[in-house]
Amino acid sequence: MEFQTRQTGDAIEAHLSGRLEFTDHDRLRDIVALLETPKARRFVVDVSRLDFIDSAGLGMILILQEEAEQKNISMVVRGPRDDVKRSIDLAKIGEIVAIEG
Amino acid sequence: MRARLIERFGVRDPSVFDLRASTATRQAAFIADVNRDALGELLAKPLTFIVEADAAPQNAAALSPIPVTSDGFFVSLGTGTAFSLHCAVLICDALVWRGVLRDNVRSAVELCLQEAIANALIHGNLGVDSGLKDRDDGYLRFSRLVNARLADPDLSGRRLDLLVSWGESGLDVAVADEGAGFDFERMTGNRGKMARSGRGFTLMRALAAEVRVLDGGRCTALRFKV
Repeated sequence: MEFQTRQTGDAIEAHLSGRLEFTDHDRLRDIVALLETPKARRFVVDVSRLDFIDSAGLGMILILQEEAEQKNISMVVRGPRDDVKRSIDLAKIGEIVAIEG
Repeated sequence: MRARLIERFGVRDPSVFDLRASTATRQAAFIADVNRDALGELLAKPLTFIVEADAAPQNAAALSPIPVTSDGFFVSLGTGTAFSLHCAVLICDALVWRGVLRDNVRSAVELCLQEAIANALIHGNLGVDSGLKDRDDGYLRFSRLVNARLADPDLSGRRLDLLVSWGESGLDVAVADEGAGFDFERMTGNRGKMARSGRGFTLMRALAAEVRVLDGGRCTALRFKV
């Protein structure tokens, strides 16, 4: 998994690409660190360029959600498509995390 | 080798590892220093056995008495090697190349293989419990523990065995590890929807025609309609 960061106003965006999978826990720390950005109130995890996610990757989304909540930052997962959308739907992640088309 | 396969893939159902390559075409490759390109190349050959090993066994006949009833191949890798490769992708590439998988079912098979392989490597061979991730900073501890165990030659040398076969009943993939096994009920029971792990079997059950756990949790046998 690779990611790029953007900041617009009080929103931090992480644009993920490639595959988010069980070998990526080391990279998660770098994304969690974005939540330390001063004045951040919203956190957008853009997955529209993510091609694949496994159950460990779904767990990472939930970790991000909890880390954001602890800092009073609202998180949204944006743009899941194809296989990524299927995994999110099958695991009912939308019941826990805000998903934005 | 046959005895090991029987032991690893569950004595009660030997059909899981029946392979039909005739003796004439059954070929094996033993390779050291496996990388993604090398494994991809081998999987694109009509080989029946691909085994990560420093040397071929002195008695090549060790591979010969595998029962023969369907087409397939067997891949055996060390945990450290398997962890660094995208095994599920490579296996699916090989199945597409061999004309077994069509594009419309490939992604479901790939995700199921990914889940079974991740379980075998992390929970099986490396003995790391995903429940660690449910604690504060758990993912950091989880990550450190995985890396520490990968650095242990005894653990990273444990085998991941993949037995892939296909025939009229569909595509069968058995994924076996050399770990301590696991309590299936505990792993897959209701852990709460906020749990940071435990969804692998949910995905496999939704996408595979059949999911069986054999050998005390050391082997996951998946069947797909293809």
